[in-house]
Amino acid sequence: MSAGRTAAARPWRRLLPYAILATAAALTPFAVTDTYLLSLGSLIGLFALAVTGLNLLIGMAGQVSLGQAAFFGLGAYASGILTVHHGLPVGLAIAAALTLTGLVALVLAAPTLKLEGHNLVMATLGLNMIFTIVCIQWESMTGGSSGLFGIPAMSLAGVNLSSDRNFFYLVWGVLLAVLWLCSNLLRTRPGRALRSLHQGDLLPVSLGIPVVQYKIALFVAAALLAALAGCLYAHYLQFISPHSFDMFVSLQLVTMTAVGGLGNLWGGVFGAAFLLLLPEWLHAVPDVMPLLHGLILMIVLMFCPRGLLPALKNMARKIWRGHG
Amino acid sequence: MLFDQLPQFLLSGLTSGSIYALVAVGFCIIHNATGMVNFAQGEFVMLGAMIMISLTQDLGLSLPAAFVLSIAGAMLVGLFLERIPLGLARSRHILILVLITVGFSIAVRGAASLFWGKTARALTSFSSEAPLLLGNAVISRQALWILFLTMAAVTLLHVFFHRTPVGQAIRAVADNRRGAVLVGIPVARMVMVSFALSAALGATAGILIAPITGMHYSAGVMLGLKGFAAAILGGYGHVWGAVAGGLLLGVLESLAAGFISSAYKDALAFLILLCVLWVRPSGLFGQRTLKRV
Amino acid sequence: MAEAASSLLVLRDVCLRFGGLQALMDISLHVPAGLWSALIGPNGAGKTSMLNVICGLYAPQAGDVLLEGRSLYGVPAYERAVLGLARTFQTVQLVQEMNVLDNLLLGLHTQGRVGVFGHLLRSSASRREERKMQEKGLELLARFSLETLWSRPVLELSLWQRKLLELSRAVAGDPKLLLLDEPMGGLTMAERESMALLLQDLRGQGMSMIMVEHDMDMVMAHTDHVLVLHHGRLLAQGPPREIQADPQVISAYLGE
Repeated sequence: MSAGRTAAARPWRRLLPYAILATAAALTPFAVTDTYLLSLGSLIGLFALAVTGLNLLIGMAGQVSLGQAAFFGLGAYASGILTVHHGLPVGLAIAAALTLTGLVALVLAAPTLKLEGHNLVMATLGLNMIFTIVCIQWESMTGGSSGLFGIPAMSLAGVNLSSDRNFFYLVWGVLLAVLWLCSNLLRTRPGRALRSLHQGDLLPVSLGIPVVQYKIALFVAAALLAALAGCLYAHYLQFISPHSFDMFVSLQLVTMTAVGGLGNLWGGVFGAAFLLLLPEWLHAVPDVMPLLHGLILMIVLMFCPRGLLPALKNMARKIWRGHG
Repeated sequence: MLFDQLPQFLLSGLTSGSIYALVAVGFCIIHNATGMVNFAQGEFVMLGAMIMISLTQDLGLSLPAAFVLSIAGAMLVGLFLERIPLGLARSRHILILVLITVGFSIAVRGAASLFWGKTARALTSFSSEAPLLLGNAVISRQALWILFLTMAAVTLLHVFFHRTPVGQAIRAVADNRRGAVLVGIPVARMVMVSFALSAALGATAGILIAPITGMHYSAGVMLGLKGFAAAILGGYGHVWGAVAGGLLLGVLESLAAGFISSAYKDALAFLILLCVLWVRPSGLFGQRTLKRV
Repeated sequence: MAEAASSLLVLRDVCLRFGGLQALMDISLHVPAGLWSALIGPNGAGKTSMLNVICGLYAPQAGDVLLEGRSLYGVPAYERAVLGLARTFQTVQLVQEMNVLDNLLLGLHTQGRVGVFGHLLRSSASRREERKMQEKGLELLARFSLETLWSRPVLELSLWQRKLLELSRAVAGDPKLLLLDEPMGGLTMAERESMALLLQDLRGQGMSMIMVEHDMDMVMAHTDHVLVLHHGRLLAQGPPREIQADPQVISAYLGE
């Protein structure tokens, strides 16, 4: 009987990806001197944070939300407006923004999660459209389509967290911590319950799992992760505009999730990196970029429906075996 | 008085509503055949209009000939989407298929911007630009064309679904896919027909609206979304529901723009949609399904 | 009423309709504790509907269900699991992406005490509870001879192994009443016999069971009490021997 032994015997296997990613993240600012590339790295981390939440929602509960960018934006705008117009200190503004987003998500969750399939997609899409329009039209608060300027930078004990290098560390530190927490959760009792949700209500309910509560919690958690990414984004760039949070961004978040591998935490990070780096690789051919972007997306989804990361892993394993 | 303008609002609402209705019906037809949402539906709208503009203005074709060719072109793209990206996909998971249509729509927009450039182009009206007076409302001749041709298209569609063998076979597939396979209906071919039909409807909508709003490579997105919203409003999958949903959405939007705020008109349209969904998850005209407790 | 007090499960005038279809009509019955009961009847008689009413997946339009004298009216399905109801399904329900042990541990869901935050932070309480659950899970698997398969994905299991896993998951939380929906369905003769022996063992340990089953030989040979449903009505109930001789039951079956 080796379950306990095998599960505990090789804890390094579980820690390995964290160690690799942490080392890579720690070294990147030394290797990458171009500030643009470094901020792209930070952006990947931010999107990966939002994707992680979405990944849980889609991968565990099977609920596709196309409104994730609205929560991303709600965090950014709430925190931005509170600091710019009301002079709140950054830390307090972020806490308030997260609370607000959490409450909004909680209020929306109950009626929205009653919907399934297309209706859920439409409802979340509709929320995103409404959010974008309000951001554009409510000029006195949001600065309208030209955006909100002058958002203060973050600092902690005199250290400017919004400098390119420090922000990079902050984002990837937060991301790794969140991934660690999520994988802890998924390996234990509540995680098993979450993983049973997409099976339909019949099974989890008969096992004593309060499906509706779990789904609401998941929806709120996904919204909070997106909002956290939004807050960090706002105080890093110190400028936000509505189109950074429109439905195309939501669509991109869902695509990152699918390209990385549904329900696969590391896959989400990979998907975020892939989709944000893709335009950079295609930069040499700016005119054909959208066409190639669409084609690559289509081809990946056609031939690696379980995600690029698992596909690459499989390939690597085959090559390894071939040589070993 | 604002209320004097009510007929005007209604008329313009019905006009844009007709366009939404055509797009919405396209969504429904593909949904009924495959169970999926085709996010490239808006691209059919754009393609129909852009091909039409090229054929009439760059090649000098007559309106009817260009009309037929544009629709045929969009249908080919629809068939391609069904055969190649969706047909060759390794997964039958609905979410993956839906995201493939998202990828397809990005690619189509990219190709369109390469081919036609990014500037908006206009299509000449089907008949003279001089508007008509209807009571105290003004209506453009193109709007009349839109209303008339939409009604004609929907009527033809009804006849097609209820009177022709192919249409009845498609309905059988929508009703019960397994059953349809068992009685020997070539389901794969019916799915192809559905995509072609849906593309044709989208293209028609694009050609009809282009003389009023113009058209550019990414204009299909918003029209596609409105069509999706209309289809949901009508109870996804019901063709007549989709028509009613489209008209209703158009009218509500135009009233909201006229009486409340034109800046928030789209937001109001979506807010209404959300309220409908929350109160009646099956849409206005959909059947309530029995729900377990 | 005295009978009701000593009964584990009581149904009182339960009516269930789907639109115009009357699935269950005025069902009243008592299930005493410690018995293995069978619920039989022709297809469409309402057997699975009755299980669903008992475990709370369907809310009946009229009537009430009582567990140990306590009304379950308005108690949602997931709380009924906490109160001691467990079930298996006509088509085996396992989570495809999880391995055998994790699927089994789902059956221990209601036993966990450590909260979400404890698990998130991987607190020592969380680790202790998980270790205990894994040990208990492996013990259970061993009881059903599945222990060597604990790390396999459930997709690799045979139907017999899936049924065993589902049964072990259902008994994991020591339920007061076990609802079995066609536990023998699709199994070979030999497997049916093994399943019957397993269920007999469970009853020997004091487990109360209601089993929907089509295999009359199994029902008559092993169960203590038989309930016959026909067109949504309770046609007869009693020991297998009596039911076998009941002219109403015979005509209902032959009349099909």
